[in-house]
Parts: sequence; structure tokens; C-alpha cells
Amino acid sequence: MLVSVNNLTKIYRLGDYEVYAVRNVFLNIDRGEFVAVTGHSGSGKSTLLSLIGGLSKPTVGRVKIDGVDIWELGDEELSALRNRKIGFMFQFSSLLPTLSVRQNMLLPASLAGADEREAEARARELLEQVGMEHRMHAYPWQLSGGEQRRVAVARAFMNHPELILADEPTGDLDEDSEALVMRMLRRMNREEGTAVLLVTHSRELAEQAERRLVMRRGRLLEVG
Amino acid sequence: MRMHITLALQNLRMRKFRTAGIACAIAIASATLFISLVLTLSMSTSLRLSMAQLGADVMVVPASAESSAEGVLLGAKPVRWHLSYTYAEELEKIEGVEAASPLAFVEPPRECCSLRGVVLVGFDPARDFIVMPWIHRAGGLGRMQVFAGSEYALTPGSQVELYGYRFRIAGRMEPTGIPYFDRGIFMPLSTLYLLTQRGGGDLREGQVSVIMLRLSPGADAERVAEAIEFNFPELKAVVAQRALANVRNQMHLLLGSLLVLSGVIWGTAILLISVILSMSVRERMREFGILRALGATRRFIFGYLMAEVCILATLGGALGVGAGYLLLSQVSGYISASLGIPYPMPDRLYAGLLSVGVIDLALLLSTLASILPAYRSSRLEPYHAIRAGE
Ligand SMILES: Nc1ncnc2c1ncn2[C@@H]1O[C@H](COP(=O)(O)OP(=O)(O)O)[C@@H](O)[C@H]1O
Ligand SMILES: [Mg+2]
Repeated sequence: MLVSVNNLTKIYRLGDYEVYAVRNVFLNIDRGEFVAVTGHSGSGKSTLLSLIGGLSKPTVGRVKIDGVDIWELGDEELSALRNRKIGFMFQFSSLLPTLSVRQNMLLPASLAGADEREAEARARELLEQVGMEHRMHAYPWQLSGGEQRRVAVARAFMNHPELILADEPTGDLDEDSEALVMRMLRRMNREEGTAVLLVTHSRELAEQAERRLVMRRGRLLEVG
Repeated sequence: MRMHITLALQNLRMRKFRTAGIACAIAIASATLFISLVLTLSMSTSLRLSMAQLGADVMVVPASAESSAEGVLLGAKPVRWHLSYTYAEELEKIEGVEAASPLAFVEPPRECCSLRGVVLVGFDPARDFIVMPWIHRAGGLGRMQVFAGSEYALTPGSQVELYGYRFRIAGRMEPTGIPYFDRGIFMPLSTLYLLTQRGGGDLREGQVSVIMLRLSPGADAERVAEAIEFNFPELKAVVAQRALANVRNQMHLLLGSLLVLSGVIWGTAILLISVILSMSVRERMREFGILRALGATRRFIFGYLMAEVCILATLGGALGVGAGYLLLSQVSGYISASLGIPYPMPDRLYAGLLSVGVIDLALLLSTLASILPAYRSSRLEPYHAIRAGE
């Protein structure tokens, strides 16, 4: 078991009333599994990913990754876990605006203190897979939305993560970019055994996953 | 650490306006502080030197020269008057006066001499107590020999050309802080008269610029000055202590306001840094959130921001010190003339130490100003930070 989520709940307090963004969620993800989550906007998908990725603290419940309760970890250990085991793709731009494509790619490796030569090679190889190796020295603002997303998906795989948390990585993308991003996710899932938790609007894309879940008002439901 | 710096540099490079803004604020504050410190320190050294080295208690000038007399004592203003040498003999008869040394200052036209900005100083070897001690120590002054001020790198035995004559350097004075002395070439009055006659200067034989008096131990300088002005209404006696006190008062006023100004500017700069940083933290929340998601620790974010501020402070501080130095060297002549006091630029080592001090202070204050925003940035919840930028 790679991810084990137990009774996860996140409550946002807005003045007098409470928003249950995520409500009593149980979820297990195996190594190498490809899981898709759909759901209306505001149903709690992004919040769920942030809780699993250790970016936001649950109000109630536990998240275990590789058997470790991530919210028992200190900042150094939790940061290291994010760095080594999880690759993120956010709903909007995930790139650092002041860094070039190459620098963005190398960032996770530098934070891990990895060998620079190896990191360069890995970055090049991943960028090739999304057809961005020729834009190594461009800055994010010089790229289209689709190109930025392609770099972001490549960067998510830099440190050979065990889990990819991808929040609508193909939202409002042109068809080519969408196909490139999806191909990358499926390929790495197959070749490197990376588990993927993919949030998407598109039923079509969701159907490419092994397992499909739906979120409704903070609750997570298994589909078929 | 290397990564902090790389990221910080990259960020500074990409946000040029913000970088320039903060660096300028720090530079202006550093420049003001540097200038105030240089002025304070070099003025007080020059005053101390003047008093100690002069060895004269009272300076006598023509009454008409009154307003600029203090400037002459400190050597900042050119001498534009003459008085007769014979007063030296008269003044020695006044009670309390131990010795009278007439001195003539001549600023020769540039083409006369091989030295730039030279001042020819004539003295009476039989009477002088200001230059003679140095000359004695150097073994005396022979024919066609002169004594050099501290400013010239002239070794004993080398030659200078004055009005077409070659003189040999007999020795060199120590620095006095008085430009007329430090830039001086000292020679007996008789030699000076010969030279100026040849060169067509307006100093005629028997004329000198000032007469310096040394008083006998215990004599009251004010009383002696009164006696001189009573007996010789056409003369003005300037008491060294009083003259210095006047200058010092003016100086304190100037320096006081400079230091207050630099305090105000520092306060503003710190506030500005704090505000710009807090603002940019809000603007950069998403960046911090993404960094955290990629595996940056809180400590890393804090270190990254601090590295950025340190680079800015060093840059701004160095820029400010450099600009301050340049400005000082441009206007020091002007200020010196308008205040009537000299201030030599500090020597390199001294200026270097001051610069390091000012840059360190810039670092310290900017760090203090940014600790809070940096800490807050490091404590943001990553998910909240990422969403805040959407
Ligand atoms: N920081 C927050 N404060 C208050 N409410 C929030 C906050 N973040 C999310 N929410 C609310 O939580 C619910 C789930 O949001 P989200 O996880 O972004 O949904 P989705 O990604 O499915 O569109 C929404 O109702 C949203 O308004
Ligand atoms: Mg969402």
C-alpha cells in the first residue's frame, strides 16, 4: 500500500459557518496504480490532493505514505518526503516565474542534493518526452499555457517519485498538449511504476484510469 | 547555501525594478551615513592635528583680514593680504610673547613649478619655531635646499624645480592636517623673495602673510591678543583656541544635522524595505508554496529570502559608499572653502574600514527589517500559499 487515507476531513471556518471541503474520506492507493477523480467544481478535489501531499493539514484523520503518518513528521522530514516521493502538478501554473525551464527542472534535484550531471541528463530526457527540450532556456512567461503544463509534468517526475498528484493537468489545454501530458503520465506509470492520482473534468480522460472515483460535496465515492 | 544564493540572484535579476528600488534606498542611506562619518572623523583629526602641530598660540594678521583669519589658521583659504615683517620685532616686545615667527605663503602660478598645487612657505630661520624643529632634526638646511611638506613623495636628496631653479630636498615634514603646511615647500624668506621677484608675484621684500606667536608658559592668550590689538589697531590677533572653538561649533552643527538626517533616512529605508518585502511576499506567495511542494523546508524559504536581502544590502551598501566617496571627493573643496576648515579625504585603509563598517551596518539593519516578513513567508501553509496566488 502506497497511500492510505483514513477518515480524512478538512473544515474551513468562514466566520460563523464551516465549510466541509473534505468529509470522512477513506482511500487506499497501491504502488503503480492509476486513479482518476472527477467531480464538480468546489467538491473538494484540490483540497483532497493538498491533504495527501502534505501541503495542508487535515482537521481530522490520517494520511499514511509508505506506512508513515505524514502529519507526525517534522518539517524537515515532511519536506524531504514531498521532495523524494511525491510529484505535484497544480491546477494553474506550477512553474517558478523567475527560473528558466532548465532551472525549474533542476530545482527538485538540487533540493534533494542530487548529482548535477545526472539531474541534467534526467531533465533533458523528461523534456524530450513532452517535446520541450528545445525550450530549455526559455522563461515561463515566454511559453504558452500548454507548454508550461508540459514542463510541469516533466518536472513532477524529476526525482523518480512514487506518487504523482495531478490537479486538472489538462484543464483548458489544446489537444496536442493534453495528449502529451496524458501520454507522459501513462508512460511513467507503466515504465517507472509511478502511482498517479489524477483529478480531471474530462470523463474521457478518467476512463483511461484503472480506477475511477467521484467527489461530491467533500465525500469520495467509488465508481463502478 | 549555494542554492539560496542562486535562487536569490535569479529572483533579483528577474525583478529588476524592485531590486533597483531597494538597493537605491539602501545606497542612499549608506551614502549619507558614510559621508557623515568621513566628515566627522576627518574633521576632528584635522583639528587635532592642527592644534598639536601648529605650536602657535596666537596668529597675527592685518585687521582687514579678519573674516577669513580662522580659515588661514587652518589653511583652507588663500591668503590675500600682506603685513610688514617688522611687526615680528615689535610683537616680541609685548609681555607674554615668547617668540614670533613671520611666515609668508605664496601660491605660485602653475607653470612655475614641477609640483602641482604647491604652496611656497617662507620663514625666518632665526625666529621660526614651527618649521625649524623639523629642519633641525633633518640636519639643517643648506644652500639651494628646501624642506618639503608631507604630501609630496619627495625623498631627501631629490630635486624640485621652482621658477626655473633647481632645489634639493633636505627633508620632509610629518602630516599636520593644515593644507598650507602639507602642500608646502619651505624655504628661508630671503630665498622666497628672490623667487617671487623673478616670477612677478605680488609679495614684495619685507612682507609676510602672518606672524605666529608662541606665548611664554602661563601667559593668557586672550590678554595678549587684547594688548596686541590695543597697541596695533591695524592688526588682528587670532587666538588659536578660540578660533578652533568657533570652527568646531559650526562643525558640530553641520555634523549633528547630517547624523540626524542619516538616521531619518535609515528609518525610512528600513520601513521601505519592510513594506516592499511584505508586499512582495504577498505577490510571491504562490512561488513559496510551489517551492515548499517541491521539497523546500521552512528554513530554506527563510534562508532564501535572507540571502536575497543580504545581497541587496551588500550591493546597496557598496553602491552607497562608492557614491558617497565620489561625492565627497567632488565637493570637499567647496565645503572646505565655505566653512573655512580643511578636511583631507581619509586615507585608503581608513576609508576601507569605514566602508566595511557602513556595509555591515546596512546588512544588519536590512536583515532586521526583513526578519519578520521572511519568517512569515516561511510559515505559510503551502496549499494556502499556492491558492493565494490564483
Ligand atoms: N482556503 C479556503 N477557505 C475557505 N474555503 C475554502 C478554502 N479552500 C477551499 N475552500 C472551499 O472548499 C471547497 C472545496 O474546494 P476545492 O478543493 O478547491 O474544490 P475543487 O478542487 O473540487 O474545485 C469549496 O467549497 C471551496 O470554496
Ligand atoms: Mg480544484
